[in-house]
Amino acid sequence: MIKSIIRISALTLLMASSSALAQHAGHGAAPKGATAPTWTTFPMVLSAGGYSRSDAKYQAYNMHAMQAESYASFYGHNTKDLETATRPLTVDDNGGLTMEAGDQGGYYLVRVMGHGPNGEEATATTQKYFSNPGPAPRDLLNSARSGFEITPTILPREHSHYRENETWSFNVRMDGKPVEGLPVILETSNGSKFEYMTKADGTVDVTFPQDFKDIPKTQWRHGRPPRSKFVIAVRDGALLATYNDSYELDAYGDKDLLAGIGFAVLGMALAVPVVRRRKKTNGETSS
Amino acid sequence: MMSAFTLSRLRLTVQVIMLFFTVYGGAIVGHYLADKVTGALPALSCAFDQQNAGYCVLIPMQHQLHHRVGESIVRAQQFSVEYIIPFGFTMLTFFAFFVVLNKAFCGWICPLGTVQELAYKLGRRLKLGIRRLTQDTVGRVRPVKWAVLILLVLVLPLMAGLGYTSYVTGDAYCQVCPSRIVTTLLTANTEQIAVNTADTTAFLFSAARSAIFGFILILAFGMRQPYCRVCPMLALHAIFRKVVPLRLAKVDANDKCGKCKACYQACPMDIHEVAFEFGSKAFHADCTMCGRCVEFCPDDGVLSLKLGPVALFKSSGAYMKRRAKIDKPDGTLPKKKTSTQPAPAE
Repeated sequence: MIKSIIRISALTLLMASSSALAQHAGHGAAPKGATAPTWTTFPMVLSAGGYSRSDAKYQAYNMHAMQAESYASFYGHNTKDLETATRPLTVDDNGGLTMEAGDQGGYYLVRVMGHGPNGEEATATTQKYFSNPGPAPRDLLNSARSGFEITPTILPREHSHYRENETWSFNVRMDGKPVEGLPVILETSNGSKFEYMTKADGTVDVTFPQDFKDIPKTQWRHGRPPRSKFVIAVRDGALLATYNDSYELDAYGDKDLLAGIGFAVLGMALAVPVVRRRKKTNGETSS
Repeated sequence: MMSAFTLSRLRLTVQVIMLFFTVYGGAIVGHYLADKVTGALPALSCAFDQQNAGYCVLIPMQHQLHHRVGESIVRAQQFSVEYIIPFGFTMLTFFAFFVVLNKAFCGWICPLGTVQELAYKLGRRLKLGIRRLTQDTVGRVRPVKWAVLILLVLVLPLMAGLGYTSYVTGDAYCQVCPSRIVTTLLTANTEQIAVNTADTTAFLFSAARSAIFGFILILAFGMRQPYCRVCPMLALHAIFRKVVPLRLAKVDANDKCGKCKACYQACPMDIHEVAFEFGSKAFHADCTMCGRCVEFCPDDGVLSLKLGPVALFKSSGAYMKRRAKIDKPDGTLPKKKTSTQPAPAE
């Protein structure tokens, strides 16, 4: 039995070694050249790569004359925390900025304020999760901030992501108050574009389109296509608010449910003779 | 009122409550990882179940070996205490929970253990055959849990972090754990039973997971706790079992003991030592603290569940007689008494 386990283990190791040392390559790799995305003209705050568990680098696009702030997930717990949870960030001339979390983990919102491509007053927001333990982002998302903004109602928790075909809710607020009846536009880096409308409570339900099918397998990594980017934008007169993040392949996009059920049935079939009523045999009992 | 009380009924009540808590408890504690009771629960409460209330300790263990220890060595070509501190905290958190209940996490709280027990009870209702393992077979199966712990929980995630094995092996144990399918299916999520077709390694692991799930599910109808016997959590518990206060206790050598073997018959893990050994040797590494051996022992005070010096539950002949009316030591339901009185003439 033990020899068999060792043999199987060795075989597994051999089969698995194909991906070898390149495994961590590309974790948070910086976008080379940092050219502006061509799939949207809406303002965005995109990761500028770098690998750290204590800070995150960003690049703002389609904006100018910017200032930025970060909000930590302990924002709003009490007034004492409010001061340390909100931090101004320095934006360089090219739109680059670094958010430092230090040893305070959990969720953060990064918000860049400036002027959009048409001169409108724009607020671009994204989120960052540091895997060090930190508070849940409930207060972070529900707290009233000044200005016009669109933020998620709820965030995917650790190890989960926005995915194709999933519907998620976002809040549109002006100075912390919900705004009803505004058109909201979703654009993805895979070329999709959809329009939604905010409801009476200022929320809008956005369904991520199934648009990963054209990504060639040569671009896949760890057996999946890379996450694609999306931006959700909402206008109110001369004000523009955006939220950008990434989304993944559909839950079943790289899976086969029927085959899985087939293997489960195979396992069941193998177990049937063992549990079948049978006569007593040497050393083993049955009834 | 007291006559209705049995340890098994109390345990079943706790198990059902904990099954709901570990599978659906996110509705009470909250959605985010930060809301969870712990990320180091000593039971197979699967993180792939998005609605649970706490995570199995095996998840952070694998992730820390993969993403922290292995990855840091690759990136920095150096090893620092900083990288193993999270691993240490995970083990301390696990230990903090473990101290309270010891291996009772297996017998009272683990959702996969509960589902297997319910399947076995159903098997008895359906009058299916019972399969028990011989002492020889038990002896051969016992090392498997250690191999699973070392290979799938510790070695492969570290190898993945070092870049020697596929990314899929970064959580090698979770890849094959049947609790991942059982708990998610209970939330009507079929994603985890699906086979991953992305690459060969992912395919093999996910196919093995589905097959193991099917095998264990059917086996549980005729064999008690089939998966628990090879579960790495049982091995992890076994490492610490002698340094925590809650334990199974047996008196030292006793003339009366070792003859009826009711405790061995009652043991869902087929631990023969409980019948043939005495003192601390009777508390075997495979014990899940279910207490059935204590319930079915006919000799007063020979077996007990103890918290430190305090006996929480002791064997007693009177209790055993009452208990045996519910089911036999092997779980078989007692035959219903048929009336010998002739039917009244119409």
